Amino acid sequence: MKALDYLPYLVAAWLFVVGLYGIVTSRNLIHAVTCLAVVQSSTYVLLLAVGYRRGAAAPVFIDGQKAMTLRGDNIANEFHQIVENYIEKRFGHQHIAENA
Amino acid sequence: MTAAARRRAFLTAAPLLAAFLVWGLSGLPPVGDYRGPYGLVLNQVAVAERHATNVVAAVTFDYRGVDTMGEEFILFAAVTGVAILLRAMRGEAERPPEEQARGRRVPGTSNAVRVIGLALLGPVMLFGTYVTAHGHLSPGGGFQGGVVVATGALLVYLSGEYVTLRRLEPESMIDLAESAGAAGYVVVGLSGLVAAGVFLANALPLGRPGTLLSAGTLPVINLTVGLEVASGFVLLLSEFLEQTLVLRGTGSTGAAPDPPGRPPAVPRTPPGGSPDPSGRRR
Amino acid sequence: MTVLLAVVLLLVAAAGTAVVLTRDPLDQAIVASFFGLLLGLAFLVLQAPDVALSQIAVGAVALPLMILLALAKVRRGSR
Repeated sequence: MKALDYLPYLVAAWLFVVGLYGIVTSRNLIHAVTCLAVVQSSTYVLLLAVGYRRGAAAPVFIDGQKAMTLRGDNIANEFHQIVENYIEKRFGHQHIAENA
Repeated sequence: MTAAARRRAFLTAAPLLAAFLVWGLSGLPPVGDYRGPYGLVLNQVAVAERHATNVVAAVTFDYRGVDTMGEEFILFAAVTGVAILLRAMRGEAERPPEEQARGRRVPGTSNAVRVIGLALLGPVMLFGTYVTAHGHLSPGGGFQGGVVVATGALLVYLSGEYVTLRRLEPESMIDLAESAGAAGYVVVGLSGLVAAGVFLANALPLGRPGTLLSAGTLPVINLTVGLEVASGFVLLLSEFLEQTLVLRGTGSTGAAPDPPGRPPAVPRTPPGGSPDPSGRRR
Repeated sequence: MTVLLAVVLLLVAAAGTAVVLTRDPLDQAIVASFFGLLLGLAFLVLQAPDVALSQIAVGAVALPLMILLALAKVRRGSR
């Protein structure tokens, strides 16, 4: 869907123009400053949309592996497996044997 | 120009502006196809080089540390500007907030708000400190944690305890804390200069990635930035509250003082409570 | 371009329009707080948790607070 891929840019442009409309037609100075905050947020949306990679996660590495978002049907087992791997790597085999 | 004329002028120009923006933005690659290599390179090397698991914090405070120092000083300058403006406007005959409460017929803060506000204070402070301290391990960092801690001070005010807030955080201490935070960043930078010959060099031992004491100077910078941001926001809050809650004499505003029998115009709350500037009944 | 991202972005656009169309500054502060919260959610969906944390703390709490306090100061000064 080619048009839908550009939706964040359209939202950014819309926020920019709407914020400008608010500043131009406002009768109260505080109202104008809040509309300026809306214009500011359009730049945030644009900046984040430009850097977004499809299917990627935030760059936070836990023990050297990238933190992943679980998807699909087998979520419970995968999560259990992640926890088991972590315990084993961090505490070693003896703790698993003690609690078994 | 009248309001209607302004609206008409804008509505004739706005489609042109919108078309121009859309034409410009359509030249970008579609969302999700970001082709920059910087992120990919960083994902490979950041954990090994800096022993920090939050790559964003490593970029903000280490690879691009000078930029963050500039940004922190922007916040510092803004808070200083507000403090200068608002402190210069204080009148001479200022009465402390306790005295105002006695003559007033005002509804107090509801008990539910007080209980919830004060009960949440501890967890909020703890959460803010956690976010600050773990900035190099998980999403968060100095700025985020600092603002969360400042929200705790706001909770104290909202629970109707403005007097307690003033006593807990005297102004001189907030000023000192903010300056210490801002100066701390520069001190860390200078220590990098002394130790390794480069300003803001990461010269402390790097430690094991994933533990609290890893990534060298990152936790130290996180703590100083958190201190600066938290005390900056608390200073902003207390400056504004001074202005709105403490009655003024004939001072620089030029207005006559309210006669004691008449309830004050705005805000009609005890020391604390939310300002209700429009005077509407809630 | 998932459905979640599209829905959140459309909500952000609607909230931004609502902020502008609210004329009274006191009401606008509350709508701005809601807008800040939605924007923080959008940042989270765009996989930027650090920015989302900052945005929620600043845009949903500190900014409306500053608006309210400025309003109180202005109203008091005009009497």
